Amino acid sequence: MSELARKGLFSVVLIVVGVGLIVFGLSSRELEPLKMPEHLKGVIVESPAMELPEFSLIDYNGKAFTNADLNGRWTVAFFGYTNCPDFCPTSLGVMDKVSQKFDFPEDTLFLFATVDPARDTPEKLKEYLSFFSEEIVGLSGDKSQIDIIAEPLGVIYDYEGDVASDDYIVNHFGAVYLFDPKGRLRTHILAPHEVERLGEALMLSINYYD
Amino acid sequence: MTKKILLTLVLFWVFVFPVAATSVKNDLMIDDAWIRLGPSIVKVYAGYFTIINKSPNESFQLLGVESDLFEKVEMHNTSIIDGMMRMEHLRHVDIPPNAKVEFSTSGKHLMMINKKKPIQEGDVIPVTLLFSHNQSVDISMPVRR
Repeated sequence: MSELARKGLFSVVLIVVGVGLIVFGLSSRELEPLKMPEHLKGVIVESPAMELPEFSLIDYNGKAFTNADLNGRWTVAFFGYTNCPDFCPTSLGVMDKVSQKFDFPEDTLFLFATVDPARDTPEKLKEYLSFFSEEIVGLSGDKSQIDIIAEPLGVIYDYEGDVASDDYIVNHFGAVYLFDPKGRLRTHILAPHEVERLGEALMLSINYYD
Repeated sequence: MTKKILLTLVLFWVFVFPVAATSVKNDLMIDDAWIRLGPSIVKVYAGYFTIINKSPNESFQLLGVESDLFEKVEMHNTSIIDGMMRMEHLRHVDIPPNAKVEFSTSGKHLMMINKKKPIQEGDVIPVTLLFSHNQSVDISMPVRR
């Protein structure tokens, strides 16, 4: 092998190793756990970047809402129901304050998805949410479609009482979920929610994964 | 002059006291009572207050709550266990001697079901708390956000 060829081969090997290191570095960054302050341990739950299965819901303006609507912006989502007198209004109030007080990337979407679609029509959600916030968008739709996203996220819920007569409550998982601009779940923040804690947890996650 | 002051005090007592936030009956004192205003389409409201039992040795039980403005009023507890929101229907709430029991957001609360007429911010809703030992305490619960 000539001197020139040897040098050429060496350069190629260097480049391959270099690129490999960069790729490895980038991919291993994903695996490194999010460093969180002591008071947020047990509050923020990280997950592997998880895409949602294909779903089709209806937003509170009656428009279709699908996976594509999560693309290109961060999304903060919470599940509940409008007949919930205590926890949901408290959490929605917190989420609205968080959306105003913290410096979220532009276009960040705040969602409230119902786990009681039989009672929570898009129109009802619109009226309900407008009371709490101008920011939070409501999602309803077929129960089967809601389950498509609720299940992989671990949003467990059950109805307690007489569903036929409208006299029932819904027990439900109370976490706030954060999706990245590729529509992938990144973290969820456990209930109960407070303005400072939820805001800090969301901003910490966004800044880390951005 | 003294008469005037006295009259003012009496008038103050008569007109102001019934709508003040604190209600007292013997050893039981109810403080910080309020109802959370909800969107107009909502029929179920949450109510909160603090019960103070000033008796050094007598314990009470809150057995029920009534209001003419709602079909029924139940006592519930929001519990958050492993991130799951659950509502537990409480049949009674114990108020031990010399103790303070709080009904507050994301904890114990009144679930006021099916309002009979529209409710607005600033309304004051009369509510009766039914305790053991045949005690009942009437309170006024202001509606706010």
